[in-house]
Amino acid sequence: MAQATIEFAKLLPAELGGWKRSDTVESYDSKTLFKYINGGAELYRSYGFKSLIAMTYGQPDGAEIKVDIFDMGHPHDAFGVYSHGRESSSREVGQGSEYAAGLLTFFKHRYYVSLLGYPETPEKKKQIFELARRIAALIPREGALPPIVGRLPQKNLVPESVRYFNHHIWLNTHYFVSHENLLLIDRECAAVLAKYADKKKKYYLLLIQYPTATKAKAAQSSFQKKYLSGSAKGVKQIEDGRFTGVRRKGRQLTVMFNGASAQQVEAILTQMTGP
Amino acid sequence: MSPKKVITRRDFIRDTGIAAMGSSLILGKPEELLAKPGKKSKVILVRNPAVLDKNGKPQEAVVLKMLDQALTALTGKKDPVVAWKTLIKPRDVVGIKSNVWKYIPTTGPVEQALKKRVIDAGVKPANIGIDDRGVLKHDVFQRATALINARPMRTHHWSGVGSLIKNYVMFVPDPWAYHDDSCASLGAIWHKPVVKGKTRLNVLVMLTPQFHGVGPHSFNPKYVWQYNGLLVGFDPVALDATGLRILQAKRRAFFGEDRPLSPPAKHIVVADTQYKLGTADPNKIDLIKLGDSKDLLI
Repeated sequence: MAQATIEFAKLLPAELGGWKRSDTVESYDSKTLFKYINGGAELYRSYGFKSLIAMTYGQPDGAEIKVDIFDMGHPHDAFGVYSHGRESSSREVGQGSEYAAGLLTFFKHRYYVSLLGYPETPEKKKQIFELARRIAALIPREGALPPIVGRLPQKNLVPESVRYFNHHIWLNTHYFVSHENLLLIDRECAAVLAKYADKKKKYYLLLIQYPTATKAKAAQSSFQKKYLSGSAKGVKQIEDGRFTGVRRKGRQLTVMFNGASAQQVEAILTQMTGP
Repeated sequence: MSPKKVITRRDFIRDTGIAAMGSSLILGKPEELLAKPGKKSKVILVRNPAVLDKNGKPQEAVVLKMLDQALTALTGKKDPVVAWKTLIKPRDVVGIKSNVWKYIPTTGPVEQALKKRVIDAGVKPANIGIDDRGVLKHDVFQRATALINARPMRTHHWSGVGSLIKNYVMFVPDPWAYHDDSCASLGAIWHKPVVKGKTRLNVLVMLTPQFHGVGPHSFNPKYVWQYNGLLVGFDPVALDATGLRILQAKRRAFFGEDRPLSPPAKHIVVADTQYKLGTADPNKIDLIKLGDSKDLLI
């Protein structure tokens, strides 16, 4: 059941701890978002962005905190946007949050929230967390994570490295594969990339759920042809001496990058997809 | 170069193919792979650690001093106003194309320092305009005989970096039409009548560049650093290419590994090879470094 729109602008205080909210609360939809965040809008649009409200809390000396509340339409997409930008994660606010140098981001249910106080001061930091907790409290429940995230093996997983997306360009942001969309990742797909660290150096797993087995098969074929030089086995040593492999099971592709050996790649792919 | 070339991680590692398309810039390949004979583009890098105050705000007097250093080095004139007079004539109508991205804008002090020297060159204030997103409706820009292009460098979701070449995207009514292929065709805008042949000076603002852009608004203060620099010159491609090398060096220093920009800043290479706006080849760039040399990265 769809959650009702939360009227954050009405529910948040006009003043908090001496910080006054701007008179104007701006709102944007998918057609107007670029006016607010220009090139950055494409990130949110690719995750199915619905609407944004933006406001500022300020002090007479000009210090301000920018508050942006993104309604991403679905909890999976809110998590996706959050996972795209984080380098660490905690549960201090919402379902996951990160604070660094004046910027706090968190997600809860279908909302992704950013609070920016730049340049950072101790007072701004305190106020940012207070505002963030108030916003999180207005969102009555948590959302489910994308099911494909739950299919990642937990052993040796680097938790903050988990990225959920359905546009190929975001794969490249975290692990450059190719300028071309070799794996046919699009809005109909659910993809998750994660880093693993074990004694044999780090490796990456990419899981992609396609809408049909036919499309998954086409993506596998494309990747094997253009990245693995047509390797029939689906495992190839590339120029840095590391191994990359791909395996399909039904609608899902599993790709392993940066493996230490062909045996390691085959073992992990088998573990993921069966013999 | 072939615009259809598929570049993969393996090319990046292997070092072949991409070097042939001049991609040392977009993927950090060794400079010597691109050595070509010919005339060099002069690029001035001027740095001053006093340019930002304790709150990170640029100081106009210091910015002006840096610009003066750059212009005299660029033109060979001892007097900065004389140097400006070689670029701008009193009868010119001058548009200063700025950038208003709220987290890292061109900044008022840079805009005002440029305007001051344009006035010093003899241009009436009524014939000087400063604008970004409103240039197509701005009276001065519509009458402009000369343009000064000034913007900060930062990573960008769609084009790899926000660059001097990209800064002219507001001169077309349909900026989104240039998003394809990592915005590779941005250089085409520079051949449109509204700007063609009008740019007298380019200033790539490197006071607080951003070297990594994930997160909301493509901005995260964690990935912004105080470089305290300006890159100044006539060749926008050479300036962008130099700025990009500094960003890549910072990424290597921060991440401890080569992380190619994604998407690549392909439009800079294409501005050279296809649109002939200048040179992206470091071996065809005469880089003159002035001022502070600490943590230069280039």
